[in-house]
This record gives sequence, C-alpha cells and structure tokens, in this order.
Amino acid sequence: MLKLLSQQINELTDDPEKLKLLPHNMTIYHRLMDPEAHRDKQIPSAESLYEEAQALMFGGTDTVGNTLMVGAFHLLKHPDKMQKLKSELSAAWPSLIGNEPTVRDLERVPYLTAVIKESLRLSSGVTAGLLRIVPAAGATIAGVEVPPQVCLHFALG
Amino acid sequence: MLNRSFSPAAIESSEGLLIEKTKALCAAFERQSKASASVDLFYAFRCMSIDVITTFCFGKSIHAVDEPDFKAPIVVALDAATPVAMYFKYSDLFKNFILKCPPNLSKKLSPLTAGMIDLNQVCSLLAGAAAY
Repeated sequence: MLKLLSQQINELTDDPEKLKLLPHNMTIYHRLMDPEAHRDKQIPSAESLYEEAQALMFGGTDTVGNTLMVGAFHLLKHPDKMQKLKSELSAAWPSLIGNEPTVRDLERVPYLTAVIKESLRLSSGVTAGLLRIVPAAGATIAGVEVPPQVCLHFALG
Repeated sequence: MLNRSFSPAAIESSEGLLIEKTKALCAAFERQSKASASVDLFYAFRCMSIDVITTFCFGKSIHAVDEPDFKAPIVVALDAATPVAMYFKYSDLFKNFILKCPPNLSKKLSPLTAGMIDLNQVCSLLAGAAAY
C-alpha cells in the first residue's frame, strides 16, 4: 500500500520543471516518503501522512491568507498610509517591465517591511486550544482587566 | 525533519514559485476588475496561499485563484471546517464518530461538520490516501 502511495506522490508531481522551483528540488511529500529522513528509517503510515497533509494545508493557508487580508484591510482604511507605501514602492520598483526586484531587494524597503511586520502583529496565526470564557466576576490576565463573559482564544507564537 | 524545507536557503529558493503564484493572483484581480466585479480578499488571499502550499507539498497546484469569485472548494471547506475543530478538540468520541462514518452519512448527521468532511476528502485525495 505504501508503495502505491509513493507512486501516487510521484505522479502528483505533474510537471518535473516545477520541482526546480521548489526548495531542494523536491516536495514536502518527497521528503516525508524518504525512509532515510526518518530516525527509525521507516516511512510513516498512510494515516500519519494524511495528518501531515491536513496540518500543512491549515498552517500554510490560514496564516498567510489572514495576514494579507488584515494588512490590506488596514491599508484601505488609512489612505495616507497606502499612499506612502505606494510612493515608496514606485521609487524602489520604477518599471513593471524588465528587471524585477528580488526578495532580498524588497527586504531593504523600510516602509514595506514595517507594513508587513504590522500586519503580522495584528493578525493571528492558527489558534490552538479551546475557547475560555471569563467568569462572572471578571479576571485579571497578564495585568489586564478582562470583563465577565469575554471569549478568549490564545494564538501560538 | 521538515525544518530543512523551511530553512532560509529553502525559502529563498522558492522565490520563483511565490512570484508565479502572486502573478496568477494579480491576473485574477485584473480579470475581476475588467468584469467590474468586486474581489473578496478573504477568499482571494487564501486561494493564493493554498496554491503555494499545495505546490510545496505535492508538486501540484490546484489553481484555486482561477476559480470563479475565488470560491475554490478546498478554501470553502477549510473555512467551514474551522469552527468544527473546537468540537473535535473537546470530544474525541465526537471526532471519531464523525470521521469514521461514511462521508455522506457524517454530513447528514452533522451538517456543521460538512466542511471538515469535504476537507478530509480533498486532503486524502492529495495525500494519495484515497487508495485505502
């Protein structure tokens, strides 16, 4: 059965050219299906591989999607900040045709970096644990007064 | 074990993939704008991030950004599955009961979990576990 799975993973890679775009020229599943990568030299069970898929899909989608949305929302709410970002980007990237800046170049653009950091600060990652409801008497949590009945959720990170 | 796949060098080497997916999202924005349609950013950004992670994991993009109005089934399923995670965490019995039932029966028994079931089916398919 695992052999079948491994074969399917290989078939899933529909375009070998695509692999060149990936780190170490392989997908996460190539790595997971490599017995040498595991301490016990065993390929995980199909169930475990499936759990990995689910965790990666949630982790990879929710976090980035949320951060981009929260950042875009706040920029649209503050046209002056949006304008400042646009001006800075136009200066750093004058023409859309021709040479594109690399990630390294864009990391050196200060306001853009600040906008990204602020978006990360305002958005939440994947939340874990169950919700907690503040009891009728209210509570002081990490020095902050929290009123009764407030729903709390803690993000990891 | 997967650390290697997320190292700074690995991230830098996937720049081309990120550029490709970002351009696909921009093209989709342009199409919506030409059709005088609005864009739901919540779904649009999720479609892009799912295209990235599916390529990263399985070498196969599902082209979620090209779905009409960004309503890609997997993104809709992820969204619908989120509230259910809380119930699953609260009760293992409930979780196993829903997950061990045939998918169509689970959806009928608990419409709230339909998103989670759809998500499971998509994940199984992607992970190749559909074979068993």
